[in-house]
Amino acid sequence: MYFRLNPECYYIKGDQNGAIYDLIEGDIYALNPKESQTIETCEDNGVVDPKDPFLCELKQRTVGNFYEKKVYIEKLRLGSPIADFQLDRPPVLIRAFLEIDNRCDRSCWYCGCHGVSRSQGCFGCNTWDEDGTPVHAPRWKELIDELHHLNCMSLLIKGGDLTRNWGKTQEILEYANKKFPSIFVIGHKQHFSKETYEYLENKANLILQTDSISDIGNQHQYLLTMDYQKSQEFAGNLPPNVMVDMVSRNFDPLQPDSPLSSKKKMPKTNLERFTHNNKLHPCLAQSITISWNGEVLPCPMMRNYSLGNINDRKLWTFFKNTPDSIQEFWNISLTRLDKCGKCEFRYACTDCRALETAKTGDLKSKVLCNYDPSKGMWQQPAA
Amino acid sequence: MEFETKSGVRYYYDNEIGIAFPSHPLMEKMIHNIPLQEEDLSAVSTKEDFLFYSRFLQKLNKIRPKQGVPGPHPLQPEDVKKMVLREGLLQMTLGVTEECNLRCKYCVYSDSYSLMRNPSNDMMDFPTAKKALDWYISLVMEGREYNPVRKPGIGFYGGEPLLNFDLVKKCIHYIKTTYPELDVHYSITTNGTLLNKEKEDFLKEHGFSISISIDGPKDEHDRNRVYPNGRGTFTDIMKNVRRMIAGGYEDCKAICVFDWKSNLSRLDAFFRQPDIPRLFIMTNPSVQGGCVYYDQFSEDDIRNYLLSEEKTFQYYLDHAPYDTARESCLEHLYPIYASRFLYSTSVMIMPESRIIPYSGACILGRKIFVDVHGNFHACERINQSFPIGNVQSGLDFQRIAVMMNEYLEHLDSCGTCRISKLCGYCYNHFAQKGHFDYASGVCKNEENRKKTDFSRAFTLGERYPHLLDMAVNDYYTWLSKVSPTLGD
Ligand code: SF4
Ligand code: SF4
Ligand code: SF4
Ligand code: SF4
Repeated sequence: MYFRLNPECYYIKGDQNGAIYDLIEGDIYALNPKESQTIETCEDNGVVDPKDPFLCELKQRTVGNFYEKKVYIEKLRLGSPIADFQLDRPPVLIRAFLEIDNRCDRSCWYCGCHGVSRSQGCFGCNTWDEDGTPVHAPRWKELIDELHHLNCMSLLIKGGDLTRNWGKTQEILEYANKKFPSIFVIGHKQHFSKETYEYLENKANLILQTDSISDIGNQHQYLLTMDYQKSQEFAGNLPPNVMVDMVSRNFDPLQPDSPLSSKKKMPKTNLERFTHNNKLHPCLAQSITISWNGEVLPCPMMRNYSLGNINDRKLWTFFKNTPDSIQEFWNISLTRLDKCGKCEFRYACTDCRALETAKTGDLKSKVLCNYDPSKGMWQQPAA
Repeated sequence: MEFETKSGVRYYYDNEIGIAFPSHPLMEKMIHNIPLQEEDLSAVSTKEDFLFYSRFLQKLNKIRPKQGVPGPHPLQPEDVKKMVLREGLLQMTLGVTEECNLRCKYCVYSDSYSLMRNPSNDMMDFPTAKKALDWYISLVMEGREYNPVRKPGIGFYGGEPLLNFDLVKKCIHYIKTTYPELDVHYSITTNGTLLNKEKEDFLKEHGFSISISIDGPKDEHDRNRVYPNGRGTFTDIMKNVRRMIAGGYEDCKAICVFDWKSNLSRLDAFFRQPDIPRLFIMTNPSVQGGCVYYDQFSEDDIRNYLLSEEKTFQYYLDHAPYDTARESCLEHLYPIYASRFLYSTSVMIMPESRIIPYSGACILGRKIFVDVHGNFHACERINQSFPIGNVQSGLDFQRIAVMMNEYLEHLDSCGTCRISKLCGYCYNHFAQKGHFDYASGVCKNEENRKKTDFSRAFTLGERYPHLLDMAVNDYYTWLSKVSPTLGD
C-alpha cells in the first residue's frame, strides 16, 4: 500500500519535526519526528502499512488516502510556478501607508515617539521625534497618482492627529477618493468629533486606536485591528466604516508566556498565506510607507530603514528590485531568518519586524518566539 | 474529465479548480451527481473510502470559484494602454530583412504557408529601425511608473538577420549612445551559416543571447535546412557553432524543429554532446498561416513516429536520464513539456483576474515585432494582416482594443470547454487573413490531446514524484536568464 497527502495538504519539514498544512480547512498538524519520517516515506511513494494508526487517522481527517498503486498528486497552488521565473513581472503592491502629518496633542505611552513598544504599531497613529520638512498636499497628490500607476490596492492615511490640519486631510482624501476604492484613515478615538466622523462616512474606513477599555485582559487578538462585530461589542455604536485598535498597558508582548511570543496558537493557514510566506515577508511584503517628511520606509514603525526620500525621487525608483529597493524587505521571508528557516511553521507564522529589530537592532533576528525548531520544543514560560 | 495513466490509475481533472486527482468510479459518480446504487457501495473496499471521497469533494467545493467568470467586456483603448504599460513591452523584435540565404522547407515564409509573406530582397533601413526603437524606448520609459522592474529586450530577426548585420550594429550603437543609462537584453535568431569571428565578437561584447536553428545530426538537419540549391547547411553551421562554444560563448542556444520523420533517439543523443549548444526549445513546424507542409507525410510516417515516441517515452520512464545540468530532447519532450503543460500560466487558481478570461492569450503589445517596412505586429509568427501600429504613429491602442475584442468574441466555446484552464492558444491559432476563426471550429480535438498530455505527465509523476518540480526549476532558472519572454 501507498499513502499520499491530498493536493491541498502540504508536508513542511523542520529541523526536527514536520507539519502538515491543510490549505482548505486551515489546520496545521504538528508532527513528531517519527510521524514526520512516515510522511516523508509516503510522499516519496514508499510502501507503508495500511494499518498504521497515524495514517488511518489522517485518512479520517481527509488529509490523505491509501492507494494500491503509486499515484501522482498534483498540488493545489495559487498561480503558476512558472510565473515566478518571469523576472519582468510588475511588483504587486497591496497597501501604502501615507503619513500625511506628524503632530498630536496627546501623549500616549505607546506612541512611536517613545520607541516601538507594540506589535502591529503600523495600524496605530504615532508621531515621531524627527527633523525635516513636511511633504505638502500637491506632492501627496502626485504620490497618489504614482501609487495608482503602480496598481496599489489600498491606502492607509495616518500621521498623528489628522484633524489638526483638517483642510489638508480633506484635500488629500478627496483626491485619493477619485482613484482608490479602498482607503483607511487611522487615528485615536479622541481625535474625531461627530462632524469629522460624518465627513469620513462614505470616504474612508476608520481604524481607531484606544486604550480606554480596561477589560480586554491579556488577549493578543484585541491588539489587532478587529472586525466590525468585535469593534461593536467593545466600542459601542460605531458607524460601519469604523474599526477599533485597542492597546493595553497590561500586556507586554515581550513576555515569554504571552500568546504573541509563545506562538502556542498558530494562526490558521490558507492557500494565500501559505503561498505568500513561501517567498515573502508576512507583513512587510507588498507594502510601502511614505513618512510625513518624505522618507520611504518598509513599514511605518521601521524608522531606521529609510530607502531614500520622495522629495528628490519618483516613487517607482524605489521598486527596481535592486539591493537598495523596497523588494529587499519584501523578500525577507521567514525562510531567510536563521531560526524560522529551520521551523516547520514558517509558512503560517506571523512576524513583526519592527518590534524584533527595535529589540535587537538586527534586521534578521528572531527573539519573539518560544519555539526552538532545532530541538523541536517549546520553551517553558517563566513561572 | 477523466484520464488514465500507463499503470492504469484513474484520475479526474477538475477544470474549475485546475487540478487533477486520483479518482474512482464511485467518486466520479458522486462528481457527476449520479444517484448511487447498492452495488456502487459494495464496489469500494471500505466505508472509510466512501466517506473519504465525499468529504474530499466537499472540501474542494469550499474553494470552487463562484459561478460565472466575468464575461468578456469590450476593452477600451485607455485600459489597453495602461495594461500594455504595466504588463507588455517585454521585447521589440526587428525583422531587419526579408531575405534569407537558406530555403528551409518548413519556413513560415516558404510556399508551404499560403497566408504568410514570401522571402524578398527587402531590407529594413536605419531610419525605420531608429524610429521603431525610439517608440519602444519611449513607451518603456513611460511604463517605468507602471512596471519598474521591466528590463527592455531588443531582438533581431529575419529572414536571416546576419544578412543585414550592418543595421544590427548601427542599432546597438544608436541605443548605446542615445540611451546610455538603459540596461537592454539583446537577442538574435539566426540560421548560423553566416557567423564569423568578427560577428561573434561583436555579439559577445554586447551580451547577445543567440538562438541558432539546429535540427539534430547531419541527415536530420539537412533534410529540411538547405540552401536554395538544395545543399544541406549542417557542416557550415557546425563549424561556426563549435568555434563559438570553444570560445566560451555561453548564451548560445539551439532551437530544434522536428516532425513526423524525425528520429527522436538520434536527436536526443545529438543534443547531449557537450560541444553542441544547449537545447532551448523543441518545436514542430507551424500548422497556422495556411500551412500545407504536413501534406507530405503518409499515414505510415505518422504511425512510425508515434511508435518511436512511445518507445522513447518508455525508455525515459525506465531510465529517467534526467540531466539537471543540461536537458536534451527527452527532457524537453517529457518532463519539461509535462511541467509546462501542467503549470502553464492559466492553470490553478489565479490570484489576479485575467484580461482575457479564456485561452492563453496575453495582451497584444506584450511583444512587438517590426517588419522591414516599419509595421508593428503582435509577434513574428502571426500573419501580417493584423498590424498593431507602425513607426509613423506608434503602437495603436485603438486597434489593439478592437482586435482583442474581436478575438474575445470568437472564443465562443471556451465557457463550456473542459480544459479551459490549461489552454495555451492565442491569437495566432485562430488567425486567418484579417479575421479570426471561432474556437468551436478550431478546438474540436483539444480535449483528447490534453488527455494524452495528462496521462504522460501523471505517468512520469507516479514514477518520480519530484521530477516535474525539478524540471520546472532547472529549465526555467536557465531560461529566465537567456530569454525575457521565457522562450515564447
Ligand atoms: S493619539 Fe496617536 S499620535 Fe497621538 S500621542 Fe497617541 S499614539 Fe501618538
Ligand atoms: S517565529 Fe519562526 S521559529 Fe518561531 S514558530 Fe514562527 S516560524 Fe517558527
Ligand atoms: S513589521 Fe509589520 S506588523 Fe510590525 S509594525 Fe511593521 S508592518 Fe506592522
Ligand atoms: S475552447 Fe479552445 S480556445 Fe477555448 S479554452 Fe478550450 S481549447 Fe482553449
